[in-house]
Amino acid sequence: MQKLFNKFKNRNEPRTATIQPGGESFEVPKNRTLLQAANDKGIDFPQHCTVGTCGSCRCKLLEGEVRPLRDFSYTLTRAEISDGYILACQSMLKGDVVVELESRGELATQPAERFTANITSTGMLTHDIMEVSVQLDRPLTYTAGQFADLLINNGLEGFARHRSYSFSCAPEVGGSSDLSFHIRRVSGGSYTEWLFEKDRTGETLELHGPNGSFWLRADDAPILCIAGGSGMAPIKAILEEAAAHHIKRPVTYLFGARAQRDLYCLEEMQALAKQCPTTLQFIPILSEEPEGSSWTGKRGLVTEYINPAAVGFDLKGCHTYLCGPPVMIDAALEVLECNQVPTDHIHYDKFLDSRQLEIES
Amino acid sequence: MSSAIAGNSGPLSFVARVTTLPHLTFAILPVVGYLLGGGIYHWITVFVLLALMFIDPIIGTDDTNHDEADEGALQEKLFYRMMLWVTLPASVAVTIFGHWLLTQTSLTTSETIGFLLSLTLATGFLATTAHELCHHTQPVDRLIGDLVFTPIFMCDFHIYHNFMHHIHAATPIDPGTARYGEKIYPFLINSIVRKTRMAWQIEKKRMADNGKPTWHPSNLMIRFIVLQAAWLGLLVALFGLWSIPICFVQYLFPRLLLAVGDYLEHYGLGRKQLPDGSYEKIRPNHAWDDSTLVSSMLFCQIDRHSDHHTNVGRPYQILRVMDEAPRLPQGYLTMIPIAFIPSLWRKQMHPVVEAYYDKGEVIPYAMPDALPEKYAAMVPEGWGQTLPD
Repeated sequence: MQKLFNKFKNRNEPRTATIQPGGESFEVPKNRTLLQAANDKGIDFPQHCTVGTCGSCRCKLLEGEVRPLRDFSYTLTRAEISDGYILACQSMLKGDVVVELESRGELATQPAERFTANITSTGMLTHDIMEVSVQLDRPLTYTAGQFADLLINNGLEGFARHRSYSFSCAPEVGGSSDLSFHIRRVSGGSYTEWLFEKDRTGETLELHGPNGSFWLRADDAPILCIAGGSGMAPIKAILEEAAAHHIKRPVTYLFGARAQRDLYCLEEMQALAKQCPTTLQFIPILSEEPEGSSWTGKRGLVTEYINPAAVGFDLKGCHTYLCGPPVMIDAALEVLECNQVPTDHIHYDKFLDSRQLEIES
Repeated sequence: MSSAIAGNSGPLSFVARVTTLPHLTFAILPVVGYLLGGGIYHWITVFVLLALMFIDPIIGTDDTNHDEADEGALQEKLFYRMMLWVTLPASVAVTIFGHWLLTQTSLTTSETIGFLLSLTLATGFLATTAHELCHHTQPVDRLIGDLVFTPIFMCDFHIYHNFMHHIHAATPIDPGTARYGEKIYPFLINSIVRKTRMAWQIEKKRMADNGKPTWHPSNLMIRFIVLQAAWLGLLVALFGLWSIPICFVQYLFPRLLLAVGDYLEHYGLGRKQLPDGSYEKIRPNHAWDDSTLVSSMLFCQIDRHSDHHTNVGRPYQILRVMDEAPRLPQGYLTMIPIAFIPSLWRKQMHPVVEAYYDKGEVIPYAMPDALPEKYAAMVPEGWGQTLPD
């Protein structure tokens, strides 16, 4: 009797789902499917139809039990089902589960490949940051937040070294052939000087990617994003992806720049904030904007705004994603430490250092 | 019929505001005709439909898309599901009332024809709300969808549509995709017969995959047959054998309606074939869009067809007009009668189809030798020769 009572009592308790590889865990409310819960948390989960017909959200159930809303056998083969595969979009959890997402393993460990990239357009975002759009010879699969190496292959001296740039848009299902990057001009650097010198539309680059492990980790915790300069790109990609999946976690994005002329992608960010009105707030902060200018927004250093009052949630429990010049990252890390944000909840891409500095050899 | 119904302040399409009220009105009209004294009033639904067909091109399109910011809330709102649920009692009630009136009272021939058509239209357009329900994730919604399909004996559509049409539309595998130059009449017969047959094949394969015999209670086709036979049995028990031909008319009309819908929705559009023989993922380019207000209203916004196919999980209230999708020259309510006159159809549709082919976004999917040479050259050699399993 007690057992039955417990079973009844536990029915309404949320379950926990863990995704392998990576071991990310998240809560699944009793009335949400595994996929809906993953989307609520902004987890990058492969999906397309979301109604049990296409099989894109196929994953392997390693532990636990699920109740299918629609029989998996419409979409999965007999062999797949006996191997333990399920469709996340049709799975209600009977208890805690562990699932394996093969595509995630591929993404995380997928060796970078070489692609040919044709520049399809270029456009200035600020006085020194350019958006470069390229088309690849075949689709590339990446996770929002990752980067690629771009190599200018013109045989001239000084070009042999590649530069790394983050994908500035959320990836498409099944891979993207059209990509764009934010590239900051480094005066005296032959690589960027070549790009900025004249319209390079139609030129061919070599692209090597995807690389990096800077992507959104699954959780319920609020998210604090901090970016400066062209560090906008990976954060923008991550937030676009999260917004597309109707993320339910609170997100505050502090974007630091010197002056108004260094601000960009404001419309895109405002559109995202509008898309997630209750969850996402975007706060641009200017450090060297002249007094008395038309700027009515925040002023100072981004680090001055890393506090619960400014971001709108308790910092101790939040997850942070940082991307920007090393000086900014280091300063931010110090403040985060003072605010007792656990180290394993602070994410930044080590590669970003050289990328943001753009030290030309 | 204000936005207060939906409780939303942002922009909303007319259909997202009125939801299934037009369907419910259609369901009530036969009763209204009776209460008005019958006679010519038994034709009321027919007259209303004709009037709607007349005003559809005059009223024009409603291209309103909701704010993306509202999308999550709109998608989750119970109101939209409830408005679909209530079409079930409406469908059952009007069918029982209709069978009673036709079998138990004395109507003149004209009244009988008029009322039978009114009843058929009332329950037939509910196929669009049942269609919507059979896409939902919630099992209760799908069950209600099946029950709305029951009085029109169309439950098998649920299986074919989800597991065949939505996976294979705009390829030769799908009997619901019409080819350029294909005449409507053979298409309708072929499409209606093959759809039911495919639903059987899908369930048969599923039973085999699960190690069960075809004739097993978990075979949905068997359940549907039992459900529909029980419904027919109930009507016969209540109203006698004359219920059978009435049911047949109720069966035929929505089949035809949705088959003509299919004819319009993907006419001549083909997906590119990948090196492994499979077809590219469906894009908005692979379905004809329409947003004519009155048509959208009677079809539960399913005429925003590109979005429906590209994002199957989107419920009707958040379907969007897609810029990249090809557009039908007129609304569904105009194109459907036109489709029945092949010469007029070709005159209306073919220039639009060819202009779309010129954009190079789709593979022309056509009857053999129907395509002008210029477009025949756009079809890669061997395209469409991949056959279903």
